[in-house]
Amino acid sequence: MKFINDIEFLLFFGTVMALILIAFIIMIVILYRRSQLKILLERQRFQQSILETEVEIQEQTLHNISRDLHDNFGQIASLIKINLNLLSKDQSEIDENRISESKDLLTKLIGDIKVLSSSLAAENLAKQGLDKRIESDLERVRRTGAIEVDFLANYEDQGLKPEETVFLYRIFQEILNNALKHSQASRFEVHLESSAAEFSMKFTDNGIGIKADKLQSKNRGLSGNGLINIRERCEMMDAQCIINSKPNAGTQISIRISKS
Amino acid sequence: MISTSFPPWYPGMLAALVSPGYLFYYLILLSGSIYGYTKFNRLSRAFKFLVILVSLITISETISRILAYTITLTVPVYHFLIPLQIIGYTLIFKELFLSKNIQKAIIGIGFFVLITSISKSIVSGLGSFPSLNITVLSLQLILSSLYLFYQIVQNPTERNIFNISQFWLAVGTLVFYAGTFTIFTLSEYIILKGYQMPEWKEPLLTILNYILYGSYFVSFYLESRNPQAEHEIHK
Repeated sequence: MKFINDIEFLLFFGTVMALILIAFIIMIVILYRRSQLKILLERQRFQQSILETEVEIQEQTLHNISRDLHDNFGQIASLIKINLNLLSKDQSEIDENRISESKDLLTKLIGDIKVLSSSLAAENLAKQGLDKRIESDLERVRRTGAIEVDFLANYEDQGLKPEETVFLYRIFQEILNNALKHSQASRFEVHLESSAAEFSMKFTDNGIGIKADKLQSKNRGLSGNGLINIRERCEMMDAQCIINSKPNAGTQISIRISKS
Repeated sequence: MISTSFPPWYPGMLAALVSPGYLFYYLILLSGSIYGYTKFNRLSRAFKFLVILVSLITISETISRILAYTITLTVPVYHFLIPLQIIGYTLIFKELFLSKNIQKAIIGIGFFVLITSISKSIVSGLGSFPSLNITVLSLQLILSSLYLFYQIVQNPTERNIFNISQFWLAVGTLVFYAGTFTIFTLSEYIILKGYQMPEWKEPLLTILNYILYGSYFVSFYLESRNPQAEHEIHK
């Protein structure tokens, strides 16, 4: 390139300098965006690891409670029952009736401890199957007569990881607990469905619904951590969680997870 | 001298004092200073220094206009202004930089530039244009703004870069002083070769001034809106 004179060269030089300056500022913006993304990813990873630790601690606590219930309270209840059986037969009729009633109550208590212990322990969940465990819990609720329960399972093989099964079961427990404690519902439906690609759980109740502020809240308060727990567990599994609720129109919760 | 190329709507009285371009530049400076003082308590230390510096520049421009129409010489003002600018910018960047070593370095550079500038003014006298002083100040500020960019990239926040006050401070400073440095270096070359000074020099400097003080105005606005968030991440 031949320049007519020095002034043209200077003009050319000035323009190049200006272009370099603009390119430099654009580069700074791009680098900043990259840096921002990197930090965002690191923060997400950190939050994920906190969540995982929290869940791990929760599971360990539940496991300990379950073991104590089974080994300690269950055993004590069994011993009381044996002692009652060993009582001499020469009792008054009133005392006989009281002993018999106590034995029945103890049998119920031992049964409840077993069920509670097994619902808290997650180790055999994958083996037993999520559907069987949910069905058994719902059956127990149905027997109490507190709420009308409908269960529909439409799948053969779940194909889920053991930890995903535990998470899904904990989500089910949270939703069931909410329905029993807060919803004032008379009917609760659970629908499990599985295809080759994904697994889904749908829960429907006809209760009073969840207040909009609670539904949208992302902060843990003194009460109402259930929804946050559900969302956090879904986030950890990379599952989709949709909660629809309107005042006095019940609540529908849908969880979808892709099978890996 | 009154330029005949002024637009017809420009008042004749005003044309006798300043050109429309200069008036616009002066208004940017003045509004920047006023806005900065109205939000002064909400600004961080660095931006408080910047407000003071911009207001000093506004005062010096006012004095230079008065001198232009009394003794027809504005140059002496710049001999006093440049040392103030060197001190001001050194304090600003010292406040903005996070590394203690870089803070010490910027104070050292500032001191060196200040001594060079004062010596040059003493040697050349107040009547000559302080182009070397501007060149060394430009070098100091180019380096400082480049490091500020580096610091911004290394310490990202959740905010968009265009909403960060320090980004606009760095953009304005880099564009203006890189431009000024190039123009003054080229001017020296043109003078040396005996060519006529190109006509675009003055308008280009005016445009660079718009960019500089416009960017500072934006940075005052952003800093006054959310000064805390930015410093939380950096400290």
